[in-house]
Amino acid sequence: MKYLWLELYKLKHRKVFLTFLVILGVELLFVFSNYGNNKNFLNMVSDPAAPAWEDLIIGPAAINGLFFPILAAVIASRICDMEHKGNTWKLLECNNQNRKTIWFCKFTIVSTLMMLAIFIQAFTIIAYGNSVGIVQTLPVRTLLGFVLGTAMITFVVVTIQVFFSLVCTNQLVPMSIGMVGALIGFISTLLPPGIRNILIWGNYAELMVLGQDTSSGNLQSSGLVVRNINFIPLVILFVVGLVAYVVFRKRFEKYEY
Amino acid sequence: MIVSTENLSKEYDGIYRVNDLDIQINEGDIYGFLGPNGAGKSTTMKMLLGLVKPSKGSIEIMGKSFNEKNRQEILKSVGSLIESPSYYGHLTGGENMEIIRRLLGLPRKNIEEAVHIVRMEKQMNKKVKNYSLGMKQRLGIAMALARRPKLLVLDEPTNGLDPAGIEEMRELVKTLPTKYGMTVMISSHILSEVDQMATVVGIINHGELIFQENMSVLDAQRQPYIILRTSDNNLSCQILRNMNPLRTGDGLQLGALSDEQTGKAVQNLCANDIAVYRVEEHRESLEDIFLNLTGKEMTL
Ligand SMILES: Nc1ncnc2c1ncn2[C@@H]1O[C@H](COP(=O)(O)OP(=O)(O)OP(=O)(O)O)[C@@H](O)[C@H]1O
Ligand SMILES: [Mg+2]
Repeated sequence: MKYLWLELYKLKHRKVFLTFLVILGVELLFVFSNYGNNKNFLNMVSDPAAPAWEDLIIGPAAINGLFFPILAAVIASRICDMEHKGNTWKLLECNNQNRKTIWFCKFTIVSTLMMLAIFIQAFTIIAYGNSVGIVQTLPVRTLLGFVLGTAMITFVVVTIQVFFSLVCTNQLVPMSIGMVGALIGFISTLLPPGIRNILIWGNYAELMVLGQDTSSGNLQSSGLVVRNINFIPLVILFVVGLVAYVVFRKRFEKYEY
Repeated sequence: MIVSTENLSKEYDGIYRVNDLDIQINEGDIYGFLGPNGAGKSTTMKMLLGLVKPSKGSIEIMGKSFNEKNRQEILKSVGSLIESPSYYGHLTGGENMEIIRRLLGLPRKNIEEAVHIVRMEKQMNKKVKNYSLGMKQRLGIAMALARRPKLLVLDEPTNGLDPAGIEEMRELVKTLPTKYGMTVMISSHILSEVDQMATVVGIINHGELIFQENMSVLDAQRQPYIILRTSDNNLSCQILRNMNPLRTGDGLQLGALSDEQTGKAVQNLCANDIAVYRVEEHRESLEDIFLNLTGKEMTL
């Protein structure tokens, strides 16, 4: 606990939280500014049988693949690069801190912020839906599924970013990894399921809880079908992520700077 | 005995960069750890701090065998500054000190005292990235001093400092044992730098400790001697023969003489109408001794 507070203390003047809010704010603005002009959505609002809430959820779900890898990369890098810049690894280790706690603190801060981002999204969905007066009852299970699924994928993304930010002196390496992830995440809805599941960041596409009925081929709400989130690839990814977490932490503990 | 190592060795890529070191540092010593670039000084010091795992050998610090388990405990009374200074540039000097204070759970008084010793009180509200190298180096020492260490390990603390900074560092290090009861291990590749402050010297070359001796022993070995140059060196030799002069290229060399003896010798020569051009006192430097030891020059 002492170390966690200290880690937060070190973030003074780093504007990490501001950076976080700006990136998340841009995403939310980008997503929710569209609904007001979206005829399909406006038609669904007053129809109790139409999946208006699902339509709101796929807004962030579709774009998280792009924003979350970037957000995680930026935060992880900002939190880790001060150790590289000031060459503080030896300082910490000679002053009562070990690699385990460094890893734990950095990981906890980045993942807490990412979880916060997911909750802010869920909250924004509910708030926006209520403000426009969606008559359909809120599909709580679907929303929770979105939160849980996003959290599971993001856990793996954060593990990757924290590890590379910690071991690479040059922060361009973890940033590039984040960019590649964002690219994969962005195009993931276009990729066939098997392939996008292997590409870690591609799994964000699994959270599209609303799909088009491809057989009819039109954009009417009647052509939209509610899809259940397929958790199988997410659970597999999460388990692999847990293994990666342990392996990466061990690697970091042994790493000599 | 504050530090004692036995067969301490480190292998990198199949080569022993540090080989069978038996280092002994007593309480209150200023141990000058000398060696050319790449000799293995930093590697040795890192092993003493547990930053690098020895390939072979053992370390005892303050009577306790140093291992992974009691490492953090022992390091609470060991201050260190290894290679380049470490700091958080985006924080102020005071905030950097606060991090150390919290990590070690020290009272604020310790911080004030440490900052005072390195005379950095006025710089505490400045961001460290705007510090000069000398200030960063002093902040690093303040961080090391904050725990009131029994042992201070400094790896080339004068690296990158200007002559005034070097002199200041030297004065600072010299006061630590007497004023604060600390033992200091300080590495350098500049022999003359350590010559003026160390009480014990250890010389490492290609990973091997080729010399480890008290400065007083060294001092006894290198008595000062007097060099005379006169208008007639041969005749001078004759006149001063009871002082056992040694005829050198362009003068004569006498042993260690007191001021009186020197005065008498010069008077004697003048009385014999010999003009004395030069009277110089020479002393073997650490470089000369190193040269004698290894038969080769130690590069700076
Ligand atoms: N992590 C490492 N991997 C491989 N070789 C290393 C490593 N660290 C040090 N060495 C080698 O060990 C030798 C000793 O290095 P060390 O840094 O201890 O020298 P030094 O005496 O501190 O020199 P300097 O005066 O330049 O600081 C060098 O030849 C160096 O190349
Ligand atoms: Mg070195």
